[in-house]
Amino acid sequence: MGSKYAVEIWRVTKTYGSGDAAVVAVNDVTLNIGNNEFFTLLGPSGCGKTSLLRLIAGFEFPATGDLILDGENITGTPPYKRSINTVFQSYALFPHMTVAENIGFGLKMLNKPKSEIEPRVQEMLRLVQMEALANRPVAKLSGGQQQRVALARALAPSPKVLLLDEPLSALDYKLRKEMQVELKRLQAETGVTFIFVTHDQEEALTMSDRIAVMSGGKLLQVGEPRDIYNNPADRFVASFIGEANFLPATVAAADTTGAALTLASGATLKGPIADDLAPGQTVTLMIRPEHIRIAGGPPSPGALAGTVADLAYIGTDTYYKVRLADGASLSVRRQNRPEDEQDYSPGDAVALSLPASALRYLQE
Amino acid sequence: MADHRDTSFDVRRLGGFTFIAALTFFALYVPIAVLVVFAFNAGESISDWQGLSMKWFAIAVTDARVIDAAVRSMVIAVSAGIIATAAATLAAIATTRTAPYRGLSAKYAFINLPLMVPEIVTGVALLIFFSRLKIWTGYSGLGYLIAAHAAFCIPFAYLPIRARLENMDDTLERAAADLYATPLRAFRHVTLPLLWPGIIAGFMLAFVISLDDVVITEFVKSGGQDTLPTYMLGQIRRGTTPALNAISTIFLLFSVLAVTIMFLADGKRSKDQ
Repeated sequence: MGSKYAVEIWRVTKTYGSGDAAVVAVNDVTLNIGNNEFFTLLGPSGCGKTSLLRLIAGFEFPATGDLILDGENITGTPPYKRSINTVFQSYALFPHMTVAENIGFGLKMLNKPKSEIEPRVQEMLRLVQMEALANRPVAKLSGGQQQRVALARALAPSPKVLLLDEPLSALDYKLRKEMQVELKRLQAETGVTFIFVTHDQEEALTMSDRIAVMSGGKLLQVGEPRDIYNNPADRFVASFIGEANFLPATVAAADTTGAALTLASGATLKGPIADDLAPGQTVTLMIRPEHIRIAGGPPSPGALAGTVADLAYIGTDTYYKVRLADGASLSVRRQNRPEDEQDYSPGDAVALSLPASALRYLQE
Repeated sequence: MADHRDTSFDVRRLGGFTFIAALTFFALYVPIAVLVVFAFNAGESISDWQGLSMKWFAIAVTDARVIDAAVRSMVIAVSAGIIATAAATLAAIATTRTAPYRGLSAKYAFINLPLMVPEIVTGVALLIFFSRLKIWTGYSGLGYLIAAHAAFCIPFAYLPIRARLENMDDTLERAAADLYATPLRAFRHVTLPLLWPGIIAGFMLAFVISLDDVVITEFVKSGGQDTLPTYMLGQIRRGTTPALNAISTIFLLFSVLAVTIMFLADGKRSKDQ
């Protein structure tokens, strides 16, 4: 076997244009992607995730840095010599070929004999459940079918790494959900390393073994979905993945059991233990809306008093926008259960409790 | 305020539109129609109708000089068309499959320049150039005419080929490279099959343009190298018979056929892309 990692990206930078007009699309990114991993590059459009994917594919070459595929340096290798295949956002199926010809193209270009190509194409057709349409011209396929052919075509040559460039963005919601499951299944069945690019945080959380969050060409955080959601590295990650409330606070006291925090309004909160807290230090607290507990009436000790400003009912849950005494407002998400009789209306006085275990200190 | 119910511009509502359009079509096509009609005249005149006959067609297609000129025209048009199309295909790939750079639009202009240069200028220039070559090489065959025709046909072949390349999704070529196709094999298996209709269209256009060229041919040809158009021009000087109409009619049919093939070829597959 080869290397411990399928892909190693070492200090890779990619710039477009030159002089004052130069844009740094990928800024000093270092990243290791493991064998058999479902790895997602997540970020808003223009964050550099697609540029990074193109560098891995070999459609473009980095200005500086190195790319290692299975232990072999491929920084300057052209795309047709990399054991990496891509599922394109537009699918890019060859319109003058049938489904089977599309799937067999990579093997044909690898000069495999017909006796090897044909069974492999059949196997791929089975894998994506398209056996019946093998001889159909690809132009006659629906979006979902084209998607499957694109996947089969990219998997047929058994690449070491499969790149997927927002492949689900053109599908409607229901089909997208089906394909998410399908992609997970394909990845598990083939054992190929998947590098998946998306701007959809829900998609990333659902499908990935690990996620890399990118913004402005930089890598902000890499980790498992749970880890990134629960312990976002900074404010951008916290608000890009899921929803987040931010509260400025001052550390009143900190020891090995926790911290005492003072909000702008003068109210106090208990915070979690952290290594580098010093009394007098200002921090930003982050808490997810579903982690705040809402109750009617005057606040019990340790809870914050507020007034319901607005609410939105979304079926499973209700969102409350609660204004605190100092004017700051918090978003609270409460699950709707049949046993909860009490609903709050705008203007109601409520008490919010923010458990110390759910609070996070963020770097700005 | 003005009435905003329907203020979109429609040329058909302009006064006199229908009249001007009808007049233009009349002026364009009536002379051709008259020419075609008199090809079927039984008499000797090209303006005095004396009954229906196919005899001028028979006379035209059995005339050895007409056949000779027609064959020469075909040889030149096919050869020049192929050369021009090959050159235009390469030029189109070079100018579309590249990141835009300073000087690219100058290259477009350079390739299309022969469209703008007056034919008479090209004719005179080639006359002088080739007369020297003829002396130096001693060769005076059809090669000069073929070379001259190929040269002015390049921009005509270039236009449809470039248009097709520009409309072609270059992700397909990237996908081919991604699937282990070397640049040459990507071209052969993906670009070329998809470009084929554009190439055929380019060839047909070049072929038709070469077929009816008079000015440059007249300057470049050596003795006994009449093409069909220059032969017809020579005949007119000696007085005209409906035989000329018959040749022109066949010519017209041929051109229409070529242009139709061009349109069908170019329209094919552009829909399902």
